[in-house]
Amino acid sequence: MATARFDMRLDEGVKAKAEKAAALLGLKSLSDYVAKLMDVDATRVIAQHEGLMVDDDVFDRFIKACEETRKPNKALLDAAAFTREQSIK
Amino acid sequence: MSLDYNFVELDKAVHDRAVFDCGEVELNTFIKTQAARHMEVGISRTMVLPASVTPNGGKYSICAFYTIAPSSILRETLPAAIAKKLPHYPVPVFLLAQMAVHTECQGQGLGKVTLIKALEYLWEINAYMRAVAVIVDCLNTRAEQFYAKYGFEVLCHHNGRTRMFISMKTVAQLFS
Repeated sequence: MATARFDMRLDEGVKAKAEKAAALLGLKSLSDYVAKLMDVDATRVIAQHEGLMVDDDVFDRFIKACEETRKPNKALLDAAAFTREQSIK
Repeated sequence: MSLDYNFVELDKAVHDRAVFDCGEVELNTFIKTQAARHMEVGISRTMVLPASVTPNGGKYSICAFYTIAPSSILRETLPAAIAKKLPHYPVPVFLLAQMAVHTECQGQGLGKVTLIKALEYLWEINAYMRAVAVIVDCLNTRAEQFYAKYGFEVLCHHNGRTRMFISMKTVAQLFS
């Protein structure tokens, strides 16, 4: 049961067009149409941002590199030492 | 600007986002208009290094900030033989989504300090929520050179930017 409310203003023309589309899709109201659109599109947008899809060879090289234990380089070690000296918590 | 030496979570009521300027429009816009909103909706977390004093008792200037987010990395195709070797898939990673130093604070080594503080924070989070690497998207060649200097490797190119990474095993050796 949907209980959250969301009010919005929109262009008259867009509203008329969307009501027509909602009817064509067999939906009871414009609200049902908007709710459905939001759900589908939000899922899509979030999915796009959640994972980084990479080429197979890139992925394989990445996993291999992460499995090896590589030492931090001198610049990074020096930066860590510098940070400790600055006593930034 | 003198420093507080302590990164804290961005707080709109305390930190002056409007005057932040690192010289990069995109990063300035992010801290001014998006960082707090992204935190509210759970996209990312922004930590700032505030100035230690406020001019006329107002909000504190931001000397530097970094933004982190959890993410994952996926293989375009995943044959069963490879899937079997990956107990956790999609593979979890951390994003160092944004990082910037105020122009007035540049030239004091604050960039590397911010990087170390971000890596240290991610290392602490890693104790509870594992990730295999820290990934950054470089805004420009200067950023790319900065991360390369500290041992980040090129992962790939994405939307015209170089995406780089450093493994958590390497980060671990800095703090343990």
